[in-house]
Amino acid sequence: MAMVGGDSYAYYNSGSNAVPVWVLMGEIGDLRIPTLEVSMAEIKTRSSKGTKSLPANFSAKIEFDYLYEAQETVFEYLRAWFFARTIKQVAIMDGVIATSGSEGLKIPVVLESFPINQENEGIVKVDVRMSPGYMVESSAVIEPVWLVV
Amino acid sequence: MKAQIDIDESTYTISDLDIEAVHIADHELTDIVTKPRVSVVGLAWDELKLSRNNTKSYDIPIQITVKRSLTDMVDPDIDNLVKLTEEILNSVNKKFTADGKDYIWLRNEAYRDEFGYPFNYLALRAHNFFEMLYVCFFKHVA
Repeated sequence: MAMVGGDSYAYYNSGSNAVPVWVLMGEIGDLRIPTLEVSMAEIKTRSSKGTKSLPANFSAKIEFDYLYEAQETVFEYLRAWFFARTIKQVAIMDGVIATSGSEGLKIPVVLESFPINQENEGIVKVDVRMSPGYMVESSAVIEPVWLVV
Repeated sequence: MKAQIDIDESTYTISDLDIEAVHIADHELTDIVTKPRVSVVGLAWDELKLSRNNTKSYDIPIQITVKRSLTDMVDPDIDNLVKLTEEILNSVNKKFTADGKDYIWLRNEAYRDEFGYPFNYLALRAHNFFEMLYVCFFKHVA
């Protein structure tokens, strides 16, 4: 069923991968995942005239604007996360993450950029951009997955 | 919404005026013979959804009109009425707080006819009726 972007849900995990605590990022405006792709490992042999490929590494970018609201819990968390340069999990879902049937991308990310826009006649926002991060928990690398609740 | 305009009347020879917040700035000419009338009218506002939490921005236009019935179309009081309007417009260039809500001034836009004068040229020429009309835009987020 088609859906409206504003009726989607995005969370960060303030717990661990094993015991997640998902916190809704409610003051998101527009959200985009402009990059969701795998790189190609090309195969070129003398026995074939065509170049063939095998899927290699997965990559993604997550971008959204968030209302600048000092003292708002999630904004403060994002700001502290950016300056701490740590890696955390986010989930970009099509429904409430606690509801059976919801699904989306669950991925550890680094908060790559956090520019602040103060347009004269606009609302102050930050343009958040996230990239996949290297996260290890209990000696295991946490990979991005498509989560189906 | 409460209206508030601070006017430094000492600058001008206009020593008296009526100012009122109304839904429609509609007057009889006989009402505005002795002194100008400033009307503050709230126009239809726009709302925009900003976030998934339904935080909204409100673009709020406030219409301000200055009216006076004059003796003729070269009445020297025209200069004072234009200055009065300018003073009123300067006075709204700030942040207002009403009922705990902030309203940020964005811009003032003139209502012009095809002649481009700051006042209603046809009304002045035909009826000695002075009218200046501006819309002041404010933004509120909630």
